[in-house]
Amino acid sequence: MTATTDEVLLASPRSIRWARRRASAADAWRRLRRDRLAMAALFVLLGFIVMALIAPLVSDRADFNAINTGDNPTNRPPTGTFILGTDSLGRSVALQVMWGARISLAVGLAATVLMIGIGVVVGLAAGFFGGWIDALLMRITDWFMVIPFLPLAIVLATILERGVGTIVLVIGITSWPSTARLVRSQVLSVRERLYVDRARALGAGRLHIVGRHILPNVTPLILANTTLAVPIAILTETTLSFLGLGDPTQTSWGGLLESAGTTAVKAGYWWQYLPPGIGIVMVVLAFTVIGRALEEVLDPRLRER
Amino acid sequence: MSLLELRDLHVTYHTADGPVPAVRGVNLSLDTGDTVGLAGESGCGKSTIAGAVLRLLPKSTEITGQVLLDGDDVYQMKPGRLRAARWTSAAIVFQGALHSLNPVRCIGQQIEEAIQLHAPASGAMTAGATRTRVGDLLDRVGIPATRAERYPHQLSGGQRQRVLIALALACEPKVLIADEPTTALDVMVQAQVLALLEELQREQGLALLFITHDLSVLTHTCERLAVMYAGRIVEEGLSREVFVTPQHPYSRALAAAFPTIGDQSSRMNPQGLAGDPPDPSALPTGCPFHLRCALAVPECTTNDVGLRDAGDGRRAACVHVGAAYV
Repeated sequence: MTATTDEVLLASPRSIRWARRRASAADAWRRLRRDRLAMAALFVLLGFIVMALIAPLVSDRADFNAINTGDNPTNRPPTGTFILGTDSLGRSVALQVMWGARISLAVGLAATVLMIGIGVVVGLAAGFFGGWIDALLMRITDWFMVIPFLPLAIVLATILERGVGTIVLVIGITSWPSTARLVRSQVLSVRERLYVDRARALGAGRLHIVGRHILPNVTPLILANTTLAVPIAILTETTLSFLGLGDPTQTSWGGLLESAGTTAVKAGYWWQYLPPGIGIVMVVLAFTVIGRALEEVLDPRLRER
Repeated sequence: MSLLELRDLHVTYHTADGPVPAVRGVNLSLDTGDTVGLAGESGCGKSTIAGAVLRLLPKSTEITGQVLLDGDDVYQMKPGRLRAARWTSAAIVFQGALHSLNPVRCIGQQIEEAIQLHAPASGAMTAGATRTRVGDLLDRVGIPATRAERYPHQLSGGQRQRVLIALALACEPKVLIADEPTTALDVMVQAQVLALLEELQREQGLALLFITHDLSVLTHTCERLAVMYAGRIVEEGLSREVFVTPQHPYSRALAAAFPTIGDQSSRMNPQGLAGDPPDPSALPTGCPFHLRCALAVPECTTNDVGLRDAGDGRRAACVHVGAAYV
C-alpha cells in the first residue's frame, strides 16, 4: 500500500479496509490481464453489453410495430440498409438482435443473482449450523431438486403474470438447489478445519466465523458456480422464450429463434436464426472463460508462488 | 490464586463405540512465571487438556471437575464472558501450523483478527495502531513486519509456527498453552522455536503449559514436569529430577528412550517400551500401566494407586513409591 505513515495513523479501520480491498482488486486485475483468453472473452462480453446499452439510441422499439414495417421487404437477405436482413414481417434482424441482447443479459444476470443468493444462504446455514436446521433445509432442497425442472418452470411461467420478472423468478427458484448442495458440502469440510477451531479459541462468535473464515473459503467455489449459472440462466431464458413462455411484448434471443422457427430453417433464411444463436453461444462461452480465469485469480492457493 | 488451575478434571468423549475417558482426574496449577511440561505418548490425553481449558471440545463431550482461569470456572461462564476470556486469559499455540491458519487470508489479517475481536467496543484501536501492533508481534517472533501481507502457503513451516506464536501473544494472555508446537519441525527450527518460547516466557512472565511427547524438550524448557499415562498424571516434580531419577516405571521408560550422547551402552542398546498404550475405552484393571511394566507385582493388577508423595515435592503413582524403591 502506498499511503504514507501519517495517513495510516489518521485513517479509520474502515478506510484502511477499503484501501486494502482496492489494492487487492488492482492486484487481481493485473493478474487477469495476463490471461489472454480471458481478456478476449471480456472484450466479447463488453461488446455485447455495449450493444445492449446503445440499442435505444440507434432505434425505437416502435420500429418493430407491424404498422411501421409494412413498407419493408420481407425475408430480405442482408443488404446495405438491413445489415442482417429482415424477418417475415419485414423487421430488421440486426435491431432485434440488439434489443434481444438487453433482455437475455438482464434476465441472465438477475436470475443468477437470485439463484446464487438463495443457494449460498441455504447452503451456508445448513452446513454451518447442522442438526435439524440442516435436515429441514436439505429436505426442502431435495424437494426442489427432484421436481423436473422444465415442467415446473413452464407451470410457473404459465400461472404467474407474463413478464421479464416472472422469468427471472422462475429461473431463480428452480435452479438454486445445486448451488445450495455444493456450498453446503464445502462448508461441511471447511468448518472442521483447524483454523475454525483456532478462531473459536480466539473468542470469535458464529457470525464472525461464518463471515471471515467459512465464506472466504467457499467464495472461489461460489464464483465458479456463478460462471456456470449465468450460461444456464441465459439458456433457460432462451428455452422458455423459445417455448413461447416469455414476455410477448419484449424481444429476446430465444424469442427470435422461436419466431424464426422451422420456416426460416427450411427456406434457408440463415440471417434470421444464426445471429441470435451465435449471440447466445458467444455470451455463454465468454462467461465460462471469464469465470474460470477469475477463480484462478481470486484464490491465492491457485496462484503461482 | 493460580492463573490456571485444573481440579479433578475428567473428560469423556462419547463416540459411536461408547464412552472414551480421555482424561481421568487431573490436577494441575500454574502461576505467573511457571513453566510446566506435560509429557506422554499419543492418546494419553495431553491435547484434550489443552482443548478443555478454553472449552473447545465437541459439545457431546462430558466434562466434570473444574477448570479455573484466574479463579473463574470456564464451564460456568456465560457465552459472552467465555468468548472474552478466550485468548485474553489463556491462548494456545496449536500444533500443525499450516492447518491452524486460514489459507485464503494473509497472516497480518489473522493476527489483527485476534486484536480486533478483543478490542473494547468503545475505544477500538485505530487501524494504524493495530497494524503497528501486528508488526511488533511479528518482529517479536523474528519475522519482518513487511511479511504481514503474505499468505500462509508462502511461509516455511518454522515461520508459520512463529506466526502462531505471534498470534497467541496478540492479546497479551497470562497463560500460554503450547500444544506440541515443535512437532513436524526439523531439529534446527525446533531449537529456534523453543528458544523463542523460552525467551518470550521469561520476558513477559507468562505461565507456560508445554505439551509434548518429547521429554528432552521439556527438561530443557520447563521447570516442572508432569508425565501422563492413560489420562492421568503418573509422576510430577522438577523436570531435571524427573528426567534423571524417574520414580514411576513409565517415566523411566520415557527417559530411557532418549540416548545419551557419548554413552556407548545406550547407543548400542536403545531402550524402548514394549507394547502399545492402552485403549482408553477399555483400560486394564488396577494400574493401567501394569501390562507393560517391568516391575509389576500381583498387587498392580487390582490396586490402582493414586499419586503418592515421593519426597522433595515429587509425587508418583506407583506401588513402589514410598516403599523401598526397587
